[in-house]
Amino acid sequence: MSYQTDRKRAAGKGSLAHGAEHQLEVTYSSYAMATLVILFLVRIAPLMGSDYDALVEGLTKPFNFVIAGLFVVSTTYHWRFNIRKVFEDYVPKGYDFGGMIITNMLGWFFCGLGLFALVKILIASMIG
Amino acid sequence: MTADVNRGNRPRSPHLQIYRPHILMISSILIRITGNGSTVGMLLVLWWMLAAAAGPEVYAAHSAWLFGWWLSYIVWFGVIWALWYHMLGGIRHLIWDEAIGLELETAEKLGWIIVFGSVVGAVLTSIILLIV
Repeated sequence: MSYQTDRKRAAGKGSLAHGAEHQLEVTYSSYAMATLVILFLVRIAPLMGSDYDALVEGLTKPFNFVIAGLFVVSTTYHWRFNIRKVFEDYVPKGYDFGGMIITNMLGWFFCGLGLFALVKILIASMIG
Repeated sequence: MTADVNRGNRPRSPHLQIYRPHILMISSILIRITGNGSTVGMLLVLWWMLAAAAGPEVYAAHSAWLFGWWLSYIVWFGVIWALWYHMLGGIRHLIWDEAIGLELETAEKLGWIIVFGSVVGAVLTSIILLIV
């Protein structure tokens, strides 16, 4: 009988030697996305296309602001892990590793960009 | 023990020249296509947020591009459908991860459910967003 957990026994295995890490990251972010996509469509999407004042007022409501922030973080997080599959499955060997590194950095960049925009909108609403 | 990290020249997924099309294959391919569609959506949402962060004048100018003409309606409908499809497909994946619904008949039903469910969801969401 093994006293190791299933996760520990999978550690270091798989084609990229990442064990169950990638599967777990995608699974956790999928649970977050399943909730946040609905909340985004209900709370944030109606603000899109509205005039500036209505947008700022709606987006800076605490609940909407948290939803928008979590949506940015989880979307870019989920994107970083799933875009890797595109490289693994479609990009020829030799080009895939560099592509994965670039898209990984892009994911962090997009996340920072979205959070920066949200904070800037919040600060602008507090000042103005 | 170290894992074999040499992935070699393995065939590219999803082997379109090997298997005849069926609902599970189509729904799986659509997951990937809508994943890319959702990427477009993510970039558009970031564009919208950055325009709003830049102030009212910039927002008004970019808002016209993002929401003010016929092509934008088509693009946003596509993004909403992609979001619905990718989300329902992801939920199906989570269900399968629990070893539920793996029988062929059930799996095929789930495939049709996400195809039709995503269309219904996208149409209803678009109508509601156009009304509010």
